[in-house]
Amino acid sequence: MSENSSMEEEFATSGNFSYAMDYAHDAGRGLREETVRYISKVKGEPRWLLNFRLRALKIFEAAPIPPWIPVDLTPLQFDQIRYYLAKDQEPKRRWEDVPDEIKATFDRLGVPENERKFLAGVEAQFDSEMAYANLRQSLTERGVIFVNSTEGLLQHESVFRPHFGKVVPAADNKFSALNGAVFSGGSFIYIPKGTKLDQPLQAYFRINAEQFGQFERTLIIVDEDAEVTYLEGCTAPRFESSALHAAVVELVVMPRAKVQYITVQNWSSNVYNLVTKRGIARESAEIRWIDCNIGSRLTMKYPCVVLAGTHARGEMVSISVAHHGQYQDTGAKMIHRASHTSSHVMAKSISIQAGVAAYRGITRAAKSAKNCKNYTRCDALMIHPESVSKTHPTLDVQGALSQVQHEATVSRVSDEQIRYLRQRGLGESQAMGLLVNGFLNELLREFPMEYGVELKRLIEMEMEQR
Amino acid sequence: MRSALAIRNLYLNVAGKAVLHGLSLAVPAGEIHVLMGRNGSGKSSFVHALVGQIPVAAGEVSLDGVSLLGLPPEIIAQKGLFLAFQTPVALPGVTITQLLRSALQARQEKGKLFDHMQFHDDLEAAMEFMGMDASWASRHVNDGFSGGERKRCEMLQALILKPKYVLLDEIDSGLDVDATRIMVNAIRLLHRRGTGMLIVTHHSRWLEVLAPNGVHLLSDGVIHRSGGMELARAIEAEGFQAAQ
Repeated sequence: MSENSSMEEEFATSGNFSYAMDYAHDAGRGLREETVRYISKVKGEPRWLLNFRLRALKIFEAAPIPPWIPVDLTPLQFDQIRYYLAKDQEPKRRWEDVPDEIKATFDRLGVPENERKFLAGVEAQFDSEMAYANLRQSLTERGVIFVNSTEGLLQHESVFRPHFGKVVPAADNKFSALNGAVFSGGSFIYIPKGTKLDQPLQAYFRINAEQFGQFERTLIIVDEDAEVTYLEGCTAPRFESSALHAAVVELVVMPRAKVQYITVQNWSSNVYNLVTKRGIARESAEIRWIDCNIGSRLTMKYPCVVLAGTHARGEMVSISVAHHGQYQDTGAKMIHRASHTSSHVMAKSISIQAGVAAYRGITRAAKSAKNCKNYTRCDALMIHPESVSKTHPTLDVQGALSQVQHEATVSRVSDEQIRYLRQRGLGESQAMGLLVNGFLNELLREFPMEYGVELKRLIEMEMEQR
Repeated sequence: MRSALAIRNLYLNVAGKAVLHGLSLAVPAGEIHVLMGRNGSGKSSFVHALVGQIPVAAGEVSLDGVSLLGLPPEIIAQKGLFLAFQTPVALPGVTITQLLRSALQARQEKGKLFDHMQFHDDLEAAMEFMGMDASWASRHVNDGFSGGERKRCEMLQALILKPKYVLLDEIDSGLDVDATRIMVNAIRLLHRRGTGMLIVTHHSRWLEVLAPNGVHLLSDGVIHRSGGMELARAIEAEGFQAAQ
């Protein structure tokens, strides 16, 4: 078997494996004030951060579950979830120092291999904490910071604290409040002025424990004229009970800077993935979200760009695949606060069997913002008669001379297409895979080549299993 | 014995209506045979039944002595029957290259590596033969194609997939003079390679240059009459009634 096909097979197993772990730190089940105090104490946090967490807990407890959540959250059993589990506090800087079980997990997911091949830096989170973190020495010398959230706030407080919780405040929604109370792990990145990283930084998020909640928090600050691409991948094994992933991502993109944030979400089918992602783009800055959601029981994710400076640009490229029993509720928010800003949303979704794929988006232009442009296109492909596709667009344009366009198409794979491909020698599932990849081709090209190839193969294999 | 596509005593019902009533026909390997008949006589249904897209009521279809009846359409295709559709469907997003690569990979023995270089060389040569420039390789199959382009695309696929038999369902309809010439050249190339062909058509003139081995008239659900080019000429000159 070739090295590549081995990697693809591992990728295609959806990460459905786990190791028995001996955790040094365990906050127990359920969420109380003591849970939050335990996490903060274990991490050795300052008073201000504990207060931030406790305030967030109060907001979480007071906030109702939003009535528009499309799936019953009862299986989550908030009082049974484990909110913090860690083997170590400090991530290892050398791969050989990572504990064996964790090393085996990330080995199977191809982490060290990818680092060697095409990454400038890697972090690998195992349950609540980063188990491994490494950044090329040359980038450290240039002032790039790539650490986990705890290190970021303790060792680089002056850089990160002014922006921490400002883009996505704890009170933004119930799940951002939950994250604020119990967050652990995630990447804190600072790219200095004028620094352009020609290779991406990557984080892997891995849930290993059963009935666990992962609450990483990522903050990326890209200073003036700097550029960075950040990749994140998520996997988990399939357990009997449900798991929760409620992350918060904040991007601060200074004038003329660019950030590209790429996510490949392949959680197992009992993970509830409720994520808040938002970036602020200053003058002539650019934020691109590239998002692929294949896994999870329910994903609710609407990456947002706040276009706060003139000539800022926001872009969203979104792929969602909803299998039977999955609900992918994804979309984008483009908030035009400054004049001459532009945004572009391309979303493609696929519903298989009784899977539900929904696009939920907001385009808003403030009254003071003139000459804003937005183009949104959502294409949905339904594979089976029982497949479901929904679109919930909101357009709210207050300013003058702005152009906002929303286009949507819904199509089906026809029997005639399948018959044609079978006559060419393809089995029914291969035919379906080819048509689905054809539908996604245009957007798959937006992913880095290594990811694009794996995604195509993964989608083909998913179709072949149907 | 040379390989052959053999149809014996075939019965076919479409939408509750009996279309074929015991049709028998043999197309020996490497020969060109022509099937003619009135509109609605069941020619298209017949070729679709041969490739497993319409279930047959009774009878036998075999290739090289092996029955094809009941096999899934993709297996029949892999065994060597190719149908050039009269109106091929569009596949948005799927390029000609992707389709052909997938079709070849589906035929490949397990564990054998796909020769990408050879594939691209073959595709380039076949496209050139069919008068297609390099941009065709990345065009989406039949998406926005004219009628003539769709038919050229069908023949391109036959040239690359190298089946034992090609069934051409009115591949000549609606073609201009130049497109017809390209199509005739493609059929000749397939013939030189030893590919057997069954051509469904209404027109005899373009058949003159192909010199088919047999011409068959389908009427009342059976092969009513068989002959050579003289039968095709008679049908064109005098109509089906007179030819019977």
